[in-house]
Amino acid sequence: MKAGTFLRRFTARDGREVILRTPRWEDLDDMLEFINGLVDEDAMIAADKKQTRGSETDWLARNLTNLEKGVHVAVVAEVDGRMVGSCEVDPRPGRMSHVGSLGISVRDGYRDVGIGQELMREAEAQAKSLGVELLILEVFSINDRAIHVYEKMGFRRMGSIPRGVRYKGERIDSLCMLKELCSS
Amino acid sequence: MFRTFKLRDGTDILLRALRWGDLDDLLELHNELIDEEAMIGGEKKMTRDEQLDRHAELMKEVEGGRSVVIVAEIDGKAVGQTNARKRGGRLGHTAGLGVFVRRMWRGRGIGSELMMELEAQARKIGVEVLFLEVYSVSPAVELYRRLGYAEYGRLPGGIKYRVGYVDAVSMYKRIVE
Repeated sequence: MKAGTFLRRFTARDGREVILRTPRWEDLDDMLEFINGLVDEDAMIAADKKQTRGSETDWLARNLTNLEKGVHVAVVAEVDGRMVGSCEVDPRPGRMSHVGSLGISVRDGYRDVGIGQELMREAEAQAKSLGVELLILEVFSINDRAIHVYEKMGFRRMGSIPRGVRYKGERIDSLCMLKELCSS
Repeated sequence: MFRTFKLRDGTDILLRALRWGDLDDLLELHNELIDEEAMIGGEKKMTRDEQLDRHAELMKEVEGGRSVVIVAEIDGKAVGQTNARKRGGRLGHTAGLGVFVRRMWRGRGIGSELMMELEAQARKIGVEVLFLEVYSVSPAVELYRRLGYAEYGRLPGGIKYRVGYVDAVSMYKRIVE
């Protein structure tokens, strides 16, 4: 898939117009602000340190390269010209290349209006076309809101690593979930 | 060097840190595993150039305290290795491991010795939880269980092996209380 490819548009539950597309180089500053905003609000994601423009540049270059090579799925949501969410699927290497690891995040202020679900739907469709048959994800076991959405999207609990995540001075479980993508 | 021990037949084994010079032995180990269709993640042989890049990356990770590698050496040759790599950010106290032994040296306890040493060294870089993935049909599942690893999940059909699918079993062990 080419960088910056328009995928589709929809209206979120709060009435805002959302565009789904693949990321492009010009998203760099938006993405940097986005990830650092998540770190600032102590969002329940793996990252706990801010990115620099340099590290984000490396990340975006790798991301777009793999997207264009067709070995990585990336979908972003745009509202009023601003990137407000992103979903990615990375196929695992070697004999697990039919297993894709999914990650998703939505900017504060744009949550709970269905943007995450549309991002996931789109990323799933793209992943399928890359030959992904099974999706897996990890979520902080205390992130009820996210787990609820994942279950609604058809993910089920696979297991968890007890105390596998450090969050606000505590050790909490890291929950793994999986979803089989039907081939039809 | 970490320590030495003797196999039952008297062979001396040295467990030590990774060296730059292990490059070719580890390439041989990897390619032998691919040839025998061993139940590992990889399925492609590596060229020496590819191995160079991977080895350099591994050396960097060890220097930076992000990975631990233990090499088993017999008569100056690396015959096995185990490695654990820390995850990022809030998962940084957990590390995923792999363990590999040359075919002719298997079944003599080198793997378990490697893994016990790995635990000790991983603790030193702040690892609290080790985890791994294994083919559900692999005899290694029993070895891991004996070493204290518990199954925490299973991905049905998570591995494509030969003509069919095999489950991928996830196991973990807490190494720091």
